[in-house]
Amino acid sequence: MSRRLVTSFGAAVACLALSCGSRSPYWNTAPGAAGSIGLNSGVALLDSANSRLVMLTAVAGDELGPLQSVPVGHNVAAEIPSPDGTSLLVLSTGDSLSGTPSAEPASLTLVAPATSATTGSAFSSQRYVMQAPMPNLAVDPLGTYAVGYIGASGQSTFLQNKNEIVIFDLTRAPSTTAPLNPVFRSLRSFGGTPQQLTFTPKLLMPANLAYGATRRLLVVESEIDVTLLDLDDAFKPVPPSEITVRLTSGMTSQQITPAGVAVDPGDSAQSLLPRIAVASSNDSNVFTLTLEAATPSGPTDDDFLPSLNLTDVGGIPSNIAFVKTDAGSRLAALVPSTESAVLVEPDTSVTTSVALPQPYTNLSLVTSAVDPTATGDVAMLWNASTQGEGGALATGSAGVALWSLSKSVGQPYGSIDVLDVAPAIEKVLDVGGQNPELKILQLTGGTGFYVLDLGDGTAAPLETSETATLEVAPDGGRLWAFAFGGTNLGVIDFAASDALSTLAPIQLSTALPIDAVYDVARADGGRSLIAIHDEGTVGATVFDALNPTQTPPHQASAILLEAP
Amino acid sequence: MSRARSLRSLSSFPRRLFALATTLVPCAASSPAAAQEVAVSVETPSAASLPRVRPIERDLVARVELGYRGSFVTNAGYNPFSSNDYLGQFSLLASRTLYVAHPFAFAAGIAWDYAGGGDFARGSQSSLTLDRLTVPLEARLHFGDWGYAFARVAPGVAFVRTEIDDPSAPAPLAKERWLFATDVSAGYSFPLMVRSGASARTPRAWLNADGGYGWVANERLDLMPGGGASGVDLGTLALNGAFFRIALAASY
Repeated sequence: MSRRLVTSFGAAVACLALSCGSRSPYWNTAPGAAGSIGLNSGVALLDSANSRLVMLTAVAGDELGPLQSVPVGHNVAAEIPSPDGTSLLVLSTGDSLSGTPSAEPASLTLVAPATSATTGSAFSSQRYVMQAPMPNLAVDPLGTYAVGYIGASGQSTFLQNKNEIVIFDLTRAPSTTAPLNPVFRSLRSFGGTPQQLTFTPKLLMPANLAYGATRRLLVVESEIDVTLLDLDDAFKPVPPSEITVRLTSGMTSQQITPAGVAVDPGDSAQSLLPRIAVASSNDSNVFTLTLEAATPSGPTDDDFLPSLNLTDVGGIPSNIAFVKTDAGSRLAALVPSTESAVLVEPDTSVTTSVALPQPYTNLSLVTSAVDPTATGDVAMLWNASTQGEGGALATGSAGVALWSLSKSVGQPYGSIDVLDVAPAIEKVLDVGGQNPELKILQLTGGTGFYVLDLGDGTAAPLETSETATLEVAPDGGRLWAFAFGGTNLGVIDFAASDALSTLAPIQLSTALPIDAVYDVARADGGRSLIAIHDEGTVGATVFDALNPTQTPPHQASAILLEAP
Repeated sequence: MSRARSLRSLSSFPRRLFALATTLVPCAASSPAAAQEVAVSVETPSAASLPRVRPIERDLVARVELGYRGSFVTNAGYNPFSSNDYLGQFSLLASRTLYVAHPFAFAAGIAWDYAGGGDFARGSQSSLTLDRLTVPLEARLHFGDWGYAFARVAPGVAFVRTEIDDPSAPAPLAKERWLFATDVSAGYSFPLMVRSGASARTPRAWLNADGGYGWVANERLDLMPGGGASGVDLGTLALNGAFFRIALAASY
């Protein structure tokens, strides 16, 4: 009897001991450095150790709303917000050991605001599976397409074709039946591999094309040539072949490397054909491709054909753009080596050189902010401490100028208006939204910036006591400045009645070091600033963005601790 | 009638086992001198010379236990605080027999189990302490000098304190709460030393072992750092699970 008792008891203890399991691996992995991406209505925190995003939203009272965990593919390679800031694209290279049970293929996850109120979640997601991993992603500024490519970032698999790209139609759900989504394409190569991808706007194609008045193209720059791929037809069962334009002549051993693309969508009212201009990093010519209707017996099975035009601008251009001038459409090229800008008539290649008071490397069109009714464009010229396109910047000089193209061809000597901004500029931020006339000129070194008002031509300098990171609110109402890794935070509220005349900064601070700040919209119509603290399992401090000093900020802790 | 026979049989089983053992021990001794010595020492005392003996199962005795309790907690809410679903505890129990009806007895007492442990939850130090105060109600079935089997129900309360020290919080994220708790277990208590003829009031040492299941009311793990900052919600913690306990006990 007692022996049986002892045996039974021992067996019970052994069973219990054997049943002693281990916890989920989730708890064993620290989040590590958590990347964060700001969207219009929230912030996405990447928990790469667990292949998920944690979506933060702000609610009334400046608290964080319910956290939402969104699974993404294994081994995230890139997170890119859509150009309008509403959704997020997460590119994952998947697992190399495809035989293991938990292995995942490469994929692209689209995280977008939930459309159905019944889901109860702020965001929904869909995943596009890829046949092969692509470490780089180019996103269409219009939000319709995304393209994965290998690029120059190195090897992702043992054997790979660097000319293979995968095209996603983000307006359609993933599909493994025709029409496929995504689709793979292997670009014809003459020795180059895709390095830079550019999506054209809707091109107004020649009227005699077989179909479609507009067309979207993907311009693929390789080391030696440019390829045009018809995006609208890419999902057809038999898509037309891409068109490769070889920039390097067979007559010489010098390779011409493309370094920047400008697109003129054309104007059917003025019978202007769409054009694509290509600058080079090692050649003084700019290459203009005019898209004309193809003949049935021509060299392409697509219904358009580019005609190539070369124009020497006298030096290696640092930036190119199609502009409207008093003499019509021109291709503008900044040539720092000659301290000039060159206007190229795209049909005849006739050039007009505009002398500049100093070399400028960057050009941004600011017409709508300065004079929306002008007959010609207004361009802002500025220098960046980083190299211009193609590494053409040689001087590293400072300064900002406005270039009025309304009189640039007929009176080029009087078209430049130099602004009194002496220091070198790191980058230019568009304020946009309710203040499109404002630009933020962040200075090299990060201890200061200018608020440039293109409307009245003023440039107000502001300084920070330490290197500052700037973040412009998406609604254009505020500029936030913070010291990365510090606790100081400041804001300039452009919406205040006398803000633009006084530019009075508001000083704030947080308890923990700040790694990023995001000005996000709340569901109740307000806005909150979410400051991210990449400490431990990540914390956040939430301010009322519209009245940051009225209520104390709310602090949220251990955001990535909660299990999915 | 058959029940009475069965009880007699139960109570006589250890005695028979003991008789067998005392027979075998001299046989195992190889020295003839020892055998001779044993033969010489055997003397049957008269009934009048024996002390008056009351077996322990016929008397009211007090008892103190000190032991180790191991619980197997498989609830997901316990994961931030342990990597192996196991909760070791220090266990202290005091009881007294309240009712005796040979071979049965009933005892009640008070027990305290304490656990303090922790781990790392996603890189942040975590800790959990448990104080369980229960009132064990114990039914015993005695087998003479061979101890007794028991079944125990122990309702009570548990004080659970959980804490995670995460650098993103201004202060450790913590929560503490009193919760209802109950244990149900069964086991056996072996006397470590059989002292024939000793009275029930003689101090005795015991080895106690039992196993069962422990319930603690569910607790929402909404840990707060204080200072108005919002905390973290780690789901529900339920420190339920099978357990075993091994204890040394003293009775008098």
